[in-house]
Amino acid sequence: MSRYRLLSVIGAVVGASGVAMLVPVLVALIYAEYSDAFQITLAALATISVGTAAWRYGRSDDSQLTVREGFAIVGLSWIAMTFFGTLPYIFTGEIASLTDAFFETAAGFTTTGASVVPDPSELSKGILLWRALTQWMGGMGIIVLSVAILPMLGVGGVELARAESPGPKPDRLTPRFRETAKRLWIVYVGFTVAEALLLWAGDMSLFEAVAHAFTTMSTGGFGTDIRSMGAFSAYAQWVVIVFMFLAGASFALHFRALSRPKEYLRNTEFRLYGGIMVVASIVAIVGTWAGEIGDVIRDSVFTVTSLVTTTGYATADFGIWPASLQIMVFGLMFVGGMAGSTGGAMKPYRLGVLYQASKTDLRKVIHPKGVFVVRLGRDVVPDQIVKSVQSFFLFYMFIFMTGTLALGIITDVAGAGFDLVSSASAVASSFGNVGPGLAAVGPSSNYVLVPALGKWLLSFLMIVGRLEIFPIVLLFTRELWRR
Amino acid sequence: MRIVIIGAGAVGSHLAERLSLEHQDVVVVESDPAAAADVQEQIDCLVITGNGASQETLEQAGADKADLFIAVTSSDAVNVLSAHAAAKIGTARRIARVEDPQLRAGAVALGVDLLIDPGDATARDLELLVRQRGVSEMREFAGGSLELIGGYIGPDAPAAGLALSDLRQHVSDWSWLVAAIIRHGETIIARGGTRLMPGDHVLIMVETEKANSALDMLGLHLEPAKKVTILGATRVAELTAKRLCQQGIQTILVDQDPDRVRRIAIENPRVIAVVGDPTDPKLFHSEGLENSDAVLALTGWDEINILGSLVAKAVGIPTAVSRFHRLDLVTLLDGVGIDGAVSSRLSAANEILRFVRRGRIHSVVTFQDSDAEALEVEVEESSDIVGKTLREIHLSHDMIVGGIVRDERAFVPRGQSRIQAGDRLIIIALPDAIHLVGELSG
Repeated sequence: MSRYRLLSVIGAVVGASGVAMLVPVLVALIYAEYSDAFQITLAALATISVGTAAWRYGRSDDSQLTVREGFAIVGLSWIAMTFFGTLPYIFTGEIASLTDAFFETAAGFTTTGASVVPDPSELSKGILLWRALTQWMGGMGIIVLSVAILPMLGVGGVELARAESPGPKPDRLTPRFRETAKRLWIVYVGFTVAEALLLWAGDMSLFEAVAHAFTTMSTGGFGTDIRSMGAFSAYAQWVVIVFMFLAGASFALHFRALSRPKEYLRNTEFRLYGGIMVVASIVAIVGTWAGEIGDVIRDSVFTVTSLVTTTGYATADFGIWPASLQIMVFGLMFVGGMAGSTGGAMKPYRLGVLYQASKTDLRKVIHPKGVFVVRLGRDVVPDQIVKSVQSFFLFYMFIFMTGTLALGIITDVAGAGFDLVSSASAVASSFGNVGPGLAAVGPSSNYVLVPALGKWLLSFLMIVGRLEIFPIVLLFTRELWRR
Repeated sequence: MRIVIIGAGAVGSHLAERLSLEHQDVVVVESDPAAAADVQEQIDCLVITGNGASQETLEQAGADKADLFIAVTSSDAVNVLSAHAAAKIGTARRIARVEDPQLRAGAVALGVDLLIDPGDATARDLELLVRQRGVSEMREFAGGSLELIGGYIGPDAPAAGLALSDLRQHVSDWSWLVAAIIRHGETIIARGGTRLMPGDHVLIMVETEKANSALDMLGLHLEPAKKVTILGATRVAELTAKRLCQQGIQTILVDQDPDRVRRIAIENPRVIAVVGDPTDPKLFHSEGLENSDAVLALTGWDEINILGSLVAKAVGIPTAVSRFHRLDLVTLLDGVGIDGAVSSRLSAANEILRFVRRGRIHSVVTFQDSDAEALEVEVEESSDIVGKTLREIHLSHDMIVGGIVRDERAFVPRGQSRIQAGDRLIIIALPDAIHLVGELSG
């Protein structure tokens, strides 16, 4: 493992996020927030210079990246990136404490959308845009972006993307991975522009439309108003539902379906993803049936889509839904968008493989010497992937449970005393990159009440969840650092 | 008729023998000198050692003047290539054995008139046997209104020990007829005085609607299988498993080779593929195979197939069908309990013979353990036999008329049935008499 090269690639990624900070500077200037513009420029310059220095210092050899280097680079880059991403909040003083700023940045880059800001509408336009932009960059993956646009990362790009992309296997559209990365970003940008235009045509201002397009397509969920999407018209909500659904589906699939729309229906994971959404929506509609039916349907579909895609916008306060529906809400936090989407959590693909693998094991009881192959739809799932999915599931559950326990202890010691529902849903929601939880961290409140140590824990879980566990967990193994 | 056969493997040598017995001019081209010498020794035909795809060899074999060209080497590529070469030098009709389904369309474009796949033909035969469990043979004629059924006479069958003429007295509604009996490897065309013995393999013609009374007399019971165990992971085994699954029959396939089993499991989601020794009774027990309705032993080794079938019978599976390469074994194994035998070469030969007999002969059926054939021929206006009853014709003793198809109707004839122009006769004949069948049609 070459530490120099590690440093160089991490430096490049940090530098790239520094360049991105110049966008909110521009917005701040437009809205005449000159002091903020100045402070964010300072943050950008600091980030760019540190990044460039690290990149220059480390740049030494051009040999192929190994898989473990890829994992280490991705894990460390995300941590470094999140630290530097706090600078605009801290320099402008909009979020002064490092703990809160780190939480907010982590919730941004990981597209979780959990917030410690009491009322987003009190933030300056520049900072609001930075918030939305962190989600937009984190959604498709800032490293995938770097692979696509920075030639110096060209070698070993796949190793990096494999570690960063959601899902067990990155889909290849073209023989060269960089071309694939470019195409994915083109689809991403295309959808974002389309959504922004559609929202702008409704009751949103251009600024709100762009900010929401950024956080919808990344399945992030940061809003500009304390009422989240509840502040906007039914039209805007339906537009957001459609684009959340698109963002939760695989972008490689979108690209292929551009020429052959039938690809959607042929894809087993897509059918599973859509099926879960339809069934859960119907259950929610029936469970909340009262008053204006149009509102009930819209709120139910919106909530389910928002949770399954791990976006985390809210229109209705599902904290006041019947207890049985809240259990469903909790369960949906584990589903997530498709592999290769911008969504978080476990992914329907993995759930499908788990289900099929257990079914296969049951058949093995009847035919002990039988050879059974796990299939999802028509595709055979190789044993290696079945095993990795099963161990992913175990890791996921283990981290969820220890995280819940740790948060419970932390809140108890700090005197906040979260109950089981609050702790468990806060952890499940952060870990799955959803955003709001239930009870104390429900859609009508936010994460302000979580003690400082709890915020660090949840921020950490967000990054672990976004990178699908292994890149971060590997950082703590001795084997990774051995020569 | 001059017939050129490329490849003296199992299918090729069997066809050569079969066709030469029927007084055809057969030329066999084989690249392996040893195999060529074998054929020369056993079969009355011309053997040429050489590459069947080369134009020079083909000209030497007289393929330019041949009526029929049959390429049945083990290589798809050689078969297609040589059929193409034969087409170029002017053979009238060309048959090639092609196993890869993806090559089929292309092969037709290269001048192959008939593509045969012995494995697939065998699988088709097996599927019929399994769907009509309890019989050794099941062939349909006249769009399914007549059936030729083969079966073994059980010791407690009502007909056992009776002469056919006596049997007739017990039956009022005459809708069936015993066509031939295969006893100790010899095929006998049935006459009134022929006596049915337990253990005889009989071929009977029945009118499908009334088949049950005939089957009862012979002690045969038809029952479609619901669960079938296949031994072996050969190509035939896989093709058969695929067909059975499509019929909704629960299919379990057993083989020792984990890689082959795994490949079959991957390609056939509905087949339950098991790794294990197909001759191990413990495996039958632990995998719950004892309650299968039938076992099909389709490995590549005759010994394992026989042993597997016997084990299956011993653990209580009612029907066992085995695949054989050495056809002489089939007749020797009469009475050991194997209910049916298949062989890819016979299934392939069936298909080819059907094609060879094209013209006035509409269809041909051959059997596993007998060299008799069933042929369907059309009687033309000019024929001598039009207007006569069957009794008046004085057929050769080596053939029998098992059925008559007239307009849309098909029936089993009696001695006084009168033949009309345009009738189709279903004739079961021994090889010596096959060339006489054509004369009947006029």
